[in-house]
Amino acid sequence: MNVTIRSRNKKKYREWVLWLLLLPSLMGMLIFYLLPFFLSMYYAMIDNVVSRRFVGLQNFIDTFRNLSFQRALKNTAFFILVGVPLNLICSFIIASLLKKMTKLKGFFGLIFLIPMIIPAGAVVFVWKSIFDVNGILNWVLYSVGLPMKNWLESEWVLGIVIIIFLWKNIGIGMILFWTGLNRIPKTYYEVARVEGGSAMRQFFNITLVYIMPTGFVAALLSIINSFKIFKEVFLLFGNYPSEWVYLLQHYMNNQFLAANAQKLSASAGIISAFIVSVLFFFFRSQRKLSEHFS
Amino acid sequence: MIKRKNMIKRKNMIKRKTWQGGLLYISIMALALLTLLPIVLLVTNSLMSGREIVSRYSMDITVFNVLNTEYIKAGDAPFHFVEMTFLPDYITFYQYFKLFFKSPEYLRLFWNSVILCVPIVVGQCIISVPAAYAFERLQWKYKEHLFFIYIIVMLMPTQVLLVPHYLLAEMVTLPPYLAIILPGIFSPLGIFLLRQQLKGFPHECLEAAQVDGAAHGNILYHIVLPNMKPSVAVLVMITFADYWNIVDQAIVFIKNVFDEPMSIALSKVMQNDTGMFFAMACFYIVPIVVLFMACRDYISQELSFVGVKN
Repeated sequence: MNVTIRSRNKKKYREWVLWLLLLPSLMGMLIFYLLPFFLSMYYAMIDNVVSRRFVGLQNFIDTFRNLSFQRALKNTAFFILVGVPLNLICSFIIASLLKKMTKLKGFFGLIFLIPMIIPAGAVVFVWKSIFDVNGILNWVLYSVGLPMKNWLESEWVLGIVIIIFLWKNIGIGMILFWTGLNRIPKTYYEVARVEGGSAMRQFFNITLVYIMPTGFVAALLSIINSFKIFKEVFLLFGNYPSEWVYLLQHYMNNQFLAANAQKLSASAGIISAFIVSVLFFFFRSQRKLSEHFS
Repeated sequence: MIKRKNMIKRKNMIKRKTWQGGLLYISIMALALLTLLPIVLLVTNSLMSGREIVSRYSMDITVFNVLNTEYIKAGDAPFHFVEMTFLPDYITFYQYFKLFFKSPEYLRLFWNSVILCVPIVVGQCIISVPAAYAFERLQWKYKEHLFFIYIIVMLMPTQVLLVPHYLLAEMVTLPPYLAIILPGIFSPLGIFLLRQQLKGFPHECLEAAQVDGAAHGNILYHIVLPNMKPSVAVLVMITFADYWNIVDQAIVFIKNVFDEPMSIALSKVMQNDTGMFFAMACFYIVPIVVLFMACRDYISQELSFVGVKN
């Protein structure tokens, strides 16, 4: 009797220590992330900081009606819809190429990871001297005799941003796909070979199906990273870029400059709602996938 | 006869295999070179003299309508293309000399980056290690729900998280550096990464220690921490890379030009003092590359843990 009480007390004591270990992080999370976020949602629903009249969803509707927000939304959506699948395809191809190699695998894998850590500020100059009016790309076009273009101010500029995005993000996707590919049991392929499945069938029925869960994670990470491209875009074009690269991040940034707390909070609310819904979609389909497999 | 035919067939197959293998290596090598190209360019061009850099890379000399192609095709256009090269006309270390001994204003930018990053990295480690351990050991019904909140915050774009930080900093008038550092310390990324690693840690080991009467602090310090060195190293590298490359937060919070970290000041150097740019950029990427090389053995392993999670 006595012993059980003591051990229960001890257990409680131990739980208490764990909470103590967690406490700093919880406090920080609360003070610096969650509470201010709720505050910003409150700001999103009042008309201005002085009168503090409750206006409901008016700020959100205004934000959606705002022409520059629409433009930003369009550009960002285009960038994500093109850039993320391209990133997945490229990193999958490189991962499967690397998997076929026998020597120097790790070395090359490491090389593809390096762009991930190189700060944007250091390489922006290189991008600029390639794509600028009198950059390398135009020089090549000129020497071949093709018409040149002011790429950084044309409607093609998002394509350039996508190239930069790929350069930076292929590495992480490649690592994910690489481990995903290595986790597919070799016996599946052997069975398929014995039963006469062609390489094409093997790819579609085994590789693609079993790489799916990894693909989901890679897609999620790629979407998250696609928001980070703002660093490069900002350093290339500054606060007010041409309308072809005007991203959601620019919109937010300009609201910061205007110190407009209402619009800022409303657009933050919209973007976070988007991210949360993407997350829920991913987790649900992932659960379905894993149920499907087990 | 049949045997011989078979042998020829096999020989052909081997030939094809080596041929394919060669192609594979060549394509991978080409891709790797393409990936490294910008960095190699930075390093070699940092050994160029300032005047050569300006004459090679000055971009805004010609105010010229490029779309007017007919004029260019006529040949004698006063058109100046960027002359990118890997080999400088003559090699000099003068840019580095100038950077280290003659221009304290540039070193200050570097120092700004340092005092912005180091507290975040250190604080992040101090907060995350115990928190990740607690998350893994805690037996609370809603633990995973709480953790899910952490994951959502982790995946939010910087711009969205900046709004709460901005409102908070306005409310209590935090100085700009603190407004960046404090939220950075509590960012949930570290807890997520370390917990992923802890999940693979043998729990029997921890429980045995507990039965023997070791306190949580002791277990954490003597058993968990020594085994988590790789994850902590990778956490340090990722956090450092993230904040070394800080742009979004800096342009919102830091108004004073002299307080800007290297990440945004560098693009101004690029415009105002092109000759110095390459040397500075190289100096700027050295710490993070060194860190990357120091934990290169763990990186791919750790990053793949992120994928195992779900």
